[in-house]
Parts: sequence; structure tokens; C-alpha cells
Amino acid sequence: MMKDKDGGSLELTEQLYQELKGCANRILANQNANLTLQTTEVVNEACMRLIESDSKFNDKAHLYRSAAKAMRHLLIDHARAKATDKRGNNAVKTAWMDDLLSGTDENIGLIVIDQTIDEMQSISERLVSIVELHYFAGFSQPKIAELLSIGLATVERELKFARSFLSQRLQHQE
Amino acid sequence: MSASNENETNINGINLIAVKQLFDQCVDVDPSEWPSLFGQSQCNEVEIIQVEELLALAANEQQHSQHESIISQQLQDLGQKMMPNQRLGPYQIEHEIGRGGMGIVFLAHRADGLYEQKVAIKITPSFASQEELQRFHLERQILAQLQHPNIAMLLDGGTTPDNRPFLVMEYVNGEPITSYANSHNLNLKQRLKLFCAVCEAVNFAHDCLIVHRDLKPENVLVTDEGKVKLLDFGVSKMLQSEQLSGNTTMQQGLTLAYASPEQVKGERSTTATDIYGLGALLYELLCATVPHPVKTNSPEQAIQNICLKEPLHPSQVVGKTAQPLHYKALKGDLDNIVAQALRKEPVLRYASAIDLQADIQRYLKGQAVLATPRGHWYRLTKFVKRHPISTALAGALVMALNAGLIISLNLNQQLVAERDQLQKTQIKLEQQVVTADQVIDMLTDMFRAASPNKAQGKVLTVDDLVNTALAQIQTSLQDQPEVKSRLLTVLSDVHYYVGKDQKAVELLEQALTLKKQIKGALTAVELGDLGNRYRMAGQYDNAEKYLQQSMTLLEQTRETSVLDKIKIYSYLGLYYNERSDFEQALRFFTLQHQHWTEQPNEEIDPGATGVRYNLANSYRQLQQQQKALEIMTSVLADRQRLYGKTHPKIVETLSWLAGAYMENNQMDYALEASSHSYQLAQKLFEPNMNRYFESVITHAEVLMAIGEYQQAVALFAAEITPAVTNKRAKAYYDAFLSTALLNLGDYQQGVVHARQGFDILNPIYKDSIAFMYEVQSSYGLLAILSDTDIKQGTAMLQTLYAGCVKQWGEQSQRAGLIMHYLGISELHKGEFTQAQAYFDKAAKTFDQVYDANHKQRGALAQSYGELYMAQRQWSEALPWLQKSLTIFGKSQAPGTLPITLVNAMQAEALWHMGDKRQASVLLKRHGDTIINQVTTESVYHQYTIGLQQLISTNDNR
Repeated sequence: MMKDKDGGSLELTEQLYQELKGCANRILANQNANLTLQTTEVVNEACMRLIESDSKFNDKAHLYRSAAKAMRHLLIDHARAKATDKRGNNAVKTAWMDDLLSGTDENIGLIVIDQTIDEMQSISERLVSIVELHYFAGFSQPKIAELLSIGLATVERELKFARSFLSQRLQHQE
Repeated sequence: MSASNENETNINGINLIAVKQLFDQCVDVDPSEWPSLFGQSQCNEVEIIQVEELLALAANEQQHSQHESIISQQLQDLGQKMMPNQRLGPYQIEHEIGRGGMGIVFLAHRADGLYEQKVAIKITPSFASQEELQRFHLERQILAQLQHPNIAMLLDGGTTPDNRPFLVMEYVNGEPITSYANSHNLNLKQRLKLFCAVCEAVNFAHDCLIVHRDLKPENVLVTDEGKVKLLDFGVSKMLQSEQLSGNTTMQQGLTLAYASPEQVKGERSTTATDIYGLGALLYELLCATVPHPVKTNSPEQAIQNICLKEPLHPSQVVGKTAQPLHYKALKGDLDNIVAQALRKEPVLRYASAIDLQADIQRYLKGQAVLATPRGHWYRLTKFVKRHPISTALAGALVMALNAGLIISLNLNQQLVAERDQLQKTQIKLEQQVVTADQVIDMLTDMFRAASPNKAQGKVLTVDDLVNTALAQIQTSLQDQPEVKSRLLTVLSDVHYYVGKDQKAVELLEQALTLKKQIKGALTAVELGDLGNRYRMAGQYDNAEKYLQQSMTLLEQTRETSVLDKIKIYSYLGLYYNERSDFEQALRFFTLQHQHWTEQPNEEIDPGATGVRYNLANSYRQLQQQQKALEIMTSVLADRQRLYGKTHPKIVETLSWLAGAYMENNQMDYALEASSHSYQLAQKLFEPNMNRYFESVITHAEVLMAIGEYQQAVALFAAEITPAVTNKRAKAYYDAFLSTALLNLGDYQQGVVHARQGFDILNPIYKDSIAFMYEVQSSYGLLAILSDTDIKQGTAMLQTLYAGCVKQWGEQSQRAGLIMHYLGISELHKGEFTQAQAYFDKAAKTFDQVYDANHKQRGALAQSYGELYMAQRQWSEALPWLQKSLTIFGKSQAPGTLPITLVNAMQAEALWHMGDKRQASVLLKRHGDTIINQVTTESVYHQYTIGLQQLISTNDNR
């Protein structure tokens, strides 16, 4: 993408940027409709990574998959950095009540999710794509089916497995 | 399949492809068919167990929201990240220094070069609605006043471009108190002294009705100089007004190890919550562990311990381990003190942080402490058992009021302004609300009404709350006059604090009448309170009656305490001050000051600055400016030291000084003080607060005194907005704006504003010449000059003159000024002889009361010039105009209206005397300057245009 600097690639960058912004907003909207967020910063960074990855996009599905992957990497890096911090700085004293009550450390949680998705790689690339598009780009199941040109039933079945698999790995953490 | 089996086996020896295949086969069929499907599959035992687990999870839908929430939390978290060097307003982010449930803290510095200051910026999680942002803004106002040497100061605040609020706090480079104590090897006494400073700071916050809620070593730092600094009030208070229902969000941001029982139960936090926090802190200072250690793997157990289990006594803990403090020192008193602070039931803890501190000080002095082992709490527990709800609700009431207020903007502002007073109400409630089921019912109802659930969607005012209570009190409690009397007193206070003076005094009268019936007579202080309340309601006859009675009683009875005397003297001083009897006011303030120096009470008035303020005020009113300024500059220095440089009290003091400097013709000092005061007021106050508008007025007065009338008009143009609903503010803005317009020659506009101001103020202050002087003098003169009502205007000025003579004497600045005004009106009417007589009289007075270069003498010289010019005595006019210019040159800013106008008058006189060249030069230099400064409505506009035509006609000729 960085190789040819004509108008077309710039357009792609802008499109990519909008897609990433969409990813972030969808993830948040699924959780809490009221949140406002400094998405710009997050999206900028994800975008930069994608551009630096220097890949070419064959089609729209490819672009979406790349965007979701970029978001995944961005979040996991952030979680890793924080997890290191927590272990480093008086870990016992800053045991926040909400962390304790929720039962899961969200940093470790994300790291587990990331590892689990890596594990799914051994099952199929398609499964990974579906999971990433669903969790890190916030797409609905019909939309994922449309993007990957597969049946809705397939998406539903794959996600059913993925959810249980993720839940299991999260339960077994530590 | 078998070949791929080996290839696809993962590290655990599990073939995930096979697992998924089996899962897919089973998931949509009835579990009864699973065993046969398992049998047919190629999966090994381990894989089948995994499939079974997965199927069980698939059936449990609840599990699934977890992943989404982990991911979105990360995203939110990431969204809050600030990049190094990112700017927030004038601040530049350096790096993150902490994060927790309620936000992230960054180290930053000012990047605009104004100050070299490191700050800590706390960014809270996103706020949902506009309403909450508004609430946040109000909270910031409250926090801005939380200024204490042992509390990290709130410096600033704002919102990020994406609307997330942030707070800018003083950055404290220190060590958590517990690790400080250990790293400095502090002994027991030193630790306790350090802790006392924490108590003081917490108490100060409580006086401001702010509960910290998260006291723990990380929030209590000790600097290199050994100074204690409390951190993190911001979020605690914001939480306070946020969600009061007992859901889990309330618990966010709390650290379990230091949380109180009521907090982990999700109940309302009160000041008692902080007493618990202090207890936990003291516990750790004494025995190096928290009362209820929390193991990460079982928070449930910790919560249970916090709510039910008595912690080990510090001496027992120390006994078990090798700690630097000896258990013998802790056993007994200190164990009891800690235990009393850590009681499970909030009402059984120390009533205030100061009580806790006092007990420690008793211990340090070797006196008996008040804390006792639990078994000895017989009387109090008995009391609580009898009236469990009333005691708890007493505290809740004021918190509820506070929460309700946040919703109602206007009243909230008033209460914020008077919240230290409200704190006294809270104390009274706690002390006085005792019995009766009716009381409990009443409080319960108020409490319910104040809960945000009920208030949602409608504006809940303090009125609503108080009226509900009042209706219930007045129709009930007939058989319990004492309780009724007490509650009426409390409600009278509440009415006063929300600005309902009449109702307040009425209720107090009722309350005291009841009291008199029970006890036979009222004390001097009670009579004084009543008199004072009447004064505040503007009912001076009653005020005087009761204050006199109070005074008489005070002289008759020996046993009146010094504090009560001080109180009554100050009431009397304030009364006479308001009645403009400054001799008497000075007498009582002096008495008050004398008693104060005998027995200072630093809790009520640190450094006695309030007493000295009143004293200085009386001297100023008695025209003893030097003495007044001397006292007040020392008050300013003391207050800056005690309260910090950004504090409401500093605004007040600076405004006062600006006024006094102005009267003393020290304009540079005056302008410096008034600008500073106005800037601070903008930072600290809402526009409707009295203290805000008083600061605006003072600044305007100074601007006018140096001739910057248009700047004053611009100031008022910025301040007079529909948002200003405070009647007094409106009235004073109008009054002072009219004075500015008077000087700019815009009489028509001026008289409109003067009348508006006069109509508001006259009914309230018609007896008090000091309050009416400004508006009455400008209204009188403007009524004449605008030809609106010459007769009434003249009458007003003459009455005012008589009043001034009576009040301040014939040879006073104010009387002299009115004499000057009377001359100007005679001149306007064409009565030259009479005008001259008035001017001469004014001149005699001015000679005595102003120094030779005072602006007012310049203005009078100008008037003489006008007088001669009106009679076409041009050559007589000239020296006066010259004199006027010389004087104006000393105090007026160059190019301001008074100077340019006199120059134009000179031009006119010279032209008539035949020096047309000089006249033309002068007018060319000054004419347009005048026109640029005044509106077309101004008489000076017409005058200058006319003059330009006259003189240019001559040029063309």
C-alpha cells in the first residue's frame, strides 16, 4: 500500500481509517450505548500499524480482516504492558475492588483470549477470521457471512464453538 | 485421518480439529444422543472430556458476554491513554503515574510557560450525559474550595476534546505515610503526630461536606519536608453525588483492604466512613498490617471479615511479630482508640476526625482517653438500640440535602457558598435530633425524597425537601415541645442558608417561643441568635430589641462564656455596621477582638482574621484609612499563608483592599488588587454568588476611578447576562453601570439603569445610607441631567446630602461629592450663582478630605471651568481647565475621557478667545479620541461634533 503513492491508495487509507473507527465504535456500542471515547487516538494507532504492515488488500473482506487483526494486536499489546506494570508496582496494594469482584483480571483475560485465538489457528483460518471479525471488529453474524461469502448457519456454528472454547480457556487461566 | 491426527495435535496432545468436529456434531442434537456420537468418534478420552466441557459451556449462555466485556474494557482503557507530550489545555502530559478503577493519573506540566509547575492530571472514565458533565463542573467548584495545607490542591479542571472531564491537582512528590514512617524509623510519638495532621486535613474536608471515602497510605503522602498531604479527593466527591444506589459501580475504585463495612455493603458513605479509613490507617501505622488483610483469591472472605469480624488489637499483632513498636505501648488506650475508629456501626465510631485526633492528643499528654473497650459502651449502645434509625438518618439528612442540591442549580450555588454553615447544621442535627417516631418518619421521608431515584426527571429543590419536613413538624410533635423546638431551629438554619431570610427568622422565633415555654427564659446567646437572624432578614427594630436584651443579659450574668461573648459582640458589631453606626460597630468589634486575643479559637477563625477584618472595616468606614489598610494588609498575608493564594477569602480581602486603596488615592495598588480579585473570583465563584458580583463591582469602581469608563461599561456588558438571577447583583450592576454612563455623558441610558438599580435596592436598604449612597447619588444626578425628573432628582440629592452630613459629617468625602453634584445640577438648570455657591462649598470640603492630586478635585476644577464657559467667561475658564488637566494627569490613564474632554473644552475656550489655530490643533488631537470612546447617545458626542463643526468652519473660511 505504501509502495504506490497514487490517489487510489490514499483513498484506501481513508477507507481503512473509517473501518477501524467503525470497529471501535461497534465494540463499544455492543457493551454500553452511552460511552464516548477517544476513539480517534486508538484508531490512529491501529491504522498506522496496518499501514506499516505494508500489506496489499485483495478485496474488501481482506481489508476488514486486516482491520480486525490490527485492532486485536493493538489491544493485546496494551494489555501486556499493563499486566507487566501491575506485577511490577506494589501489586498487592493496588488490588482494586472491582477487579477483585469481577473475578477476572481483564489484562490476563485478553492475553488468554489472544492465545486461544492463536490455538484456533490450528483448526482453521476461517474460524480465526470469524472470531476476529466478531470480537475485534464488532460485526454481526449476517454481516460476517456476507463478507466471507459463507452461509449464516456456518458462521453461527463456528461462533458457537469459539465462544465455548474461549470460555473454557478463560476458566482454566492460572 | 490418522496422519493428520499427528500433524494437528497441539502441545497438550489434543487434536483440536477432531474436538471441534465432535462438538459440531453434538451441539445441535439432544444430549441423550451424545454417548453414541462419542463412541463413533476417533477422539481419545482426553479429547472427549474436553468436548463434554465445551458442550456444557455452550448450554450456559451467561458465559458469553464475558469475552465482549474483556475486549471492550481494554478498548475503553486504551482510549483513555494519553500519549507523552499530548496537550490538555495548557498542560502537557509527561507520563502515566497511576491507574485504577476510577481513572488514570498522569504527570504533566504547564506548557504555556506561565508557571513552572508539575501537576497530576486525573482523567476520569467517560461520562454519559450532559447533565453529568454539568454536575462534574459543580463538583469542581466545591473541590476548588478545598484548600488546606495538608490537602493536595485542586488547581484546575476541564474536559478533553472528546468530553471526558479531567482534574488538575497539585503534584505531590512524597512517600505513602506508612512507608515514610518505616523508612524514617519514626517512633510511636512521631507516628501519632503525623497521624494527627491527617485527622486535621480530613476534618477540614468534612467541614466542607466532602467525604474522602478512600483513605489509604497511597492517598496520604508525606513529603521530604515531613508534611502530610492528602490526595485524591476529586474522585471521591464525584462518586458521592454520582450513584447512590447500592449497586456495584459504587464500589469501583475502592481498595478493599481499607474499605469500611458500609462501603463493601454498598451503603451510603458518610463522614463516619472516613473515620473508619483513618482507623485503618492508624492501625497500619502502629502494627504494619491492615485490619483485615485481603487475599486476592477470596475477596468474598475479606468482605465477610470486614463486615463481621473484629480485627486483632494492634498490640496483639505486634505481640506476634517483631515490630519496631512495643506491644506494651499499644495495649490499652491505643488499642481502644483504634477499635473505636474501626467500629462496624458508623454511629459508634468517633463523631468526628477532630474527636479522634483529640483522643490521640490526650494519649500523648498522658491524659485519660475517651475511647473505652467495647463492653463499656453500654450507654451509647443502649441509646442506639432505642433509636437506631434516627441517629443514622440525622447524618444522612444533610448528605441527602447535599445530593438534592446538586440537582437544583441555583440553590446549590447558595449552599455551596454557605456550606461551612451547613456543616454546622449537620452537627446540630446529629446532636439534637433524638427521639420520637415522628422524627424518624419525617427524616425518612426527606431522605427518600432526596434519593436520586425519586429525583430523576424532575428538579428537586431544597424547598421541596424542607417544606415536606416542615409541614410534618408543625402539625405533629405537640406533646414533645423540646424536640419540636430543636427541629424548628435546624429548619430555620436551612431556610437561612437557602436564602429565605423571612421564613428563617419566623421559624427561629417559633422555636425559641417554645423553648421559653419549657425553660422559662432564653439565654443571652439565644436572644443574640434571634436578633442576628432578624438583622439578616432586614427587620432592624426586632433585631435591635433582641440584641439589646441579649446585651443586657450578658452584662448581668457572670457565667457567659468568652466564646458566647465574642459571638454576641460580633452580632452587635454587624448590626451597627449595617445601620451605618460605625462608632458603635467599632466599639463592639474592638471588644470582640479583645476577648479573642484573650482566648483565641483557631477552629472557628484561624488567625482571628475574621475579627480583624470587621475591625478594619469599621476603621475604614470611619475614614481612618491608614489604620484600616494596616490591619487589612496583615490579614491578607495571614490568609494567604493559612488558606493558600487561591481561596474565596483571598478574593474578599483583595476586593476590600482595592476599595480602601482607592479611597486613599493609591490607584496603582487599587487596580492591582481589584484585577487580581476579579480573576480569582472568575475561577472560584458562580456568577450569582454575592462574592462574585462584589468582586466585579470593586473592579469596576477602580476602573472608573482611573478614568477607564468604557472598560467599566465593557465589564458590565460581559457580566450582565440572563444567567444573572441574583437580584442584588443585578441592582448593583445597574447602579454602577449608570455611574459609568454618567461619566461618559450618556445620560439617557444612564438614568434607565440607575432607576432599575434604585428600584431593587431602595425597598431593602432605604434606611442604610452606606448601601444606598452609590445608586441614589447617580440616580439623582442623572434624573436631572437627562431632564427626566429634575424636581425628584434635586430632592433626592438634597436628602442624600443631609443623610451624608448626619452620617459622616459635613467635611466628609461623600458629603463633598454630593455638594459637587448639586452644583452640577444647578449649572445644568442655568442657576449659575447657586452652582458657584455649591462648588465653593464642595471645594472647601475637598480641601480637607482629599489630597491635592485627587481626581475629585480635578473634576471640581473642570466643573468651575464649565461654569465660566456657560457664562461665556472664556479667559476665567482656562486656568480652571488647566488645573483640572494637571490633577487628572496624576491619576487618570492617558487618553481616557476626563483628560480628552477637558482638552476639547480648552479648544472651545481658546477658539472663542480668538486663538483659532491653537483651538484647531487641540481639537484635532483630542476630538476623535472622545468620539471613539462614547456612544452617539452621549452628550459629549454631540458636544464634540458641534465643536468640530464650529472650528472646521473656521478652518475653511
